[in-house]
Amino acid sequence: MSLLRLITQKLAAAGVTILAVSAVLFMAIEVLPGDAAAAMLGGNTTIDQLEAQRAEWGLDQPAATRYLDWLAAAVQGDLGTSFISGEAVTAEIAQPLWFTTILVAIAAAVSLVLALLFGVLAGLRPGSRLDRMLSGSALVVVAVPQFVIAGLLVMLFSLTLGVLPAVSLVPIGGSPLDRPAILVLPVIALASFGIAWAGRLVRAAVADANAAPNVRAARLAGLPEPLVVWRHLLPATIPATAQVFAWLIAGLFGSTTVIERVFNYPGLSEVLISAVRNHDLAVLEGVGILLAMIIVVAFLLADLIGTLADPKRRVRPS
Amino acid sequence: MPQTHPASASTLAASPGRSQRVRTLAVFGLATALLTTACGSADATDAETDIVRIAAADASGTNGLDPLAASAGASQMVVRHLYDSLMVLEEGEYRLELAESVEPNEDADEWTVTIRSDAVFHDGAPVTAADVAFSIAALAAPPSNRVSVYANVDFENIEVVDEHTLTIPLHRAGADFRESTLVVYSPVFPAGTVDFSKGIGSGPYRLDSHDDQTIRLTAVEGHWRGSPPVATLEITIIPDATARLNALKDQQIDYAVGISATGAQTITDNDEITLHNGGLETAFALSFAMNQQLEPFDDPRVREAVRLAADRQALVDTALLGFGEPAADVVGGGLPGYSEAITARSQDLQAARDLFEAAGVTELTLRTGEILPGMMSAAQLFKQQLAEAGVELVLDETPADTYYAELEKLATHPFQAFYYANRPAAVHLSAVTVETAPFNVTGTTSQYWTKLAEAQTIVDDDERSAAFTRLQDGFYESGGDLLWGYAYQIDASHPRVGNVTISQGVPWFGAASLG
Repeated sequence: MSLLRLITQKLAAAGVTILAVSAVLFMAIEVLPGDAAAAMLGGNTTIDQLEAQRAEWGLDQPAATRYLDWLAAAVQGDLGTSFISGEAVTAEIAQPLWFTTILVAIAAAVSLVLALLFGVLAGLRPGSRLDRMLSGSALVVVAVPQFVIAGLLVMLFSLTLGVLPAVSLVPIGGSPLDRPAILVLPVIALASFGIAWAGRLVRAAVADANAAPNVRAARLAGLPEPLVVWRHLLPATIPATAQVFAWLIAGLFGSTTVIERVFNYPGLSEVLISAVRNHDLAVLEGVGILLAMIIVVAFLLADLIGTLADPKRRVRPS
Repeated sequence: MPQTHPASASTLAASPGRSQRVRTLAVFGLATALLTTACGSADATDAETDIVRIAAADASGTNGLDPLAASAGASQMVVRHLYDSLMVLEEGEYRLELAESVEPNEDADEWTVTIRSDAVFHDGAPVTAADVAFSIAALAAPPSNRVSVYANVDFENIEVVDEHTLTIPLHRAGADFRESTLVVYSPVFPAGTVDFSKGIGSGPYRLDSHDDQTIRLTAVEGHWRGSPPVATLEITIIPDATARLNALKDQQIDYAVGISATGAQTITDNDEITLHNGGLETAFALSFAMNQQLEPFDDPRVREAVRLAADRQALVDTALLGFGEPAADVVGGGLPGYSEAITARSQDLQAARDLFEAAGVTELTLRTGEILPGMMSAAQLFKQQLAEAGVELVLDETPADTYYAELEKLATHPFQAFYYANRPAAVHLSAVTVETAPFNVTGTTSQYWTKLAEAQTIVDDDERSAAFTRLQDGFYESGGDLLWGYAYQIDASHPRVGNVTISQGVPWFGAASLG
């Protein structure tokens, strides 16, 4: 299969995925009791005012009509306006999305480096004391809920040692990068799971590759061990590892909903919670679609890396 | 097509020991730099001294600059400090603020408001009657979220008499206009304001800077109330109560508005943190509300039996961990105008059992949810208490996030957990038990509405107060609330923050001091 065809196929699948995400989000918010008008006007209203507000926002229209109207605008790049704030969705979520992306990017980078290190060290000698220690530790970390890990980190580094802030307060008008200290604990909380989860999968891929005939042949041929690992073992793990890290990106974005809440990190989680609570469909769809796009791109890149790294699947230009 | 470059791979492979050392050093270097930067930054935030950093939750999704959209919590606090109000409830009393006088005509269907002449907006313009007229009209119409508070105000016919005087007509006589409307919510902003992003009011603090999470206010020198002692307030929205308390313990903030009872228990012996109990003035009144118009609660024996089955002290101890007190079935305990005849019923299981048997009731269903911390614990305990009175209670648990989303269900479910802000009884009865109230969960009847409307038209303050006392007594005797407890709002601060009072149900820092 040519690279261009592969990319075209993946992009088409991505389009269908994003469409499905938008439909699922719409249906999810439809089945929740209440609507945006009731959420905005709250208890200080009357049924007549509620109906008037619903009519003004088009909430009295059938669900299919509202979804298709929204979709028609969305495909032209207009994600709509927040019911609650009256702001354009793109403006409303741009900053929280950026802040969450900063957090995930750093956590992913830390996870990538340390999971690879863990996976290679443990996978090269399956069953060794080091492997048992690393794998056992990873199992413990994966088994403990992330909010518990986050709480323990706060207790240790903030409330006991006093070296890191307990909550992520960003300077007014600034970004988390202006005060890197507020990133440390959320990153550790996110990355601990990422390292443990991805590390175990990388370890399995390395262990499999380690038992492959070409690797054994390279060792028997007398190549130095680092060269065996670098030239023959690691390339074989790239397709699987790339997929693991695409899943990791998706998982990290999902985990931020918990971690951001614990640390009061000003990312997307509060926007999402508020959007669901207030039935703010345009905001929910906007966040959902942008996250879906990021994750779809991560998987697309993983597929491409896997294809390029696999000699059997690689297609040379003629 | 990218491929591993043989030369670079060989180079790395040729010196594995060196490359490993380099990588190890790089990892340690990165970690050290991160922690050094982190510690340095943490110290840097504590540099300012003449500032109180406050954290609170907010349910409105707004930051309080727009008084038409603010609700409780952080947004209400910002409104309270940026904007003067015509009247306020402060330290448990109704007080004139921007208004110098608020007087009715003979029939109490038109009110004359005179405002102070020394109030100035933050942009330097004087506060005039035209500004007040505009503000009331804006508050009374959508998209304001206080439309029902001003439902009786004929805002299209407000008349500006002179620079400091205006008349406000009502649709029907309302002798309780001051306490049922102006005291509830009456911030004033400049006439013509459409964009509230500058937050221009006439309050003791002006907007300095803000983003979606934090609002920074600076003191207005020469404010008519006097210059605030604390130069700067920084109000940050932190939704999670545990995070607020952690931020306080970590000295990232100075004052946490609303911490959980569990959190309060953990710091009662901590000398570095002061607990502030808001008492009844900021408490929530917790109810298991019975709709008198629906079976089986249309039978007064059933309502009485439910009230007698409750051990209120046990409910408070279990659900509120002691941070509250038993209530007596009518909202407003400890506040102005509360009937002296009202006392909390004691549990009487035998009487409750007899009444249930006489009414033929053996099972009830309570719609409930964790709408406030402890509410589910209370429902579970009440289930046991009712069982002792011979009635099985089925708990219909509803997620807290969607509890209030279905107005239809709120209006038609016979028995449900509910809570109210503890406001003066006259305000509560006028706002919550009237015919048009969206949350008439106790199913008040037309007979009651007639009596309430009559009471609201009595111009003489003493006579009106007596009429509202009779309404309260009637509500206590046979109303639909099993109001079992008041949950205190517990704030926490560093001991250096003093003189914080309660105004409009939120902490007020206009006279705060720093030790």
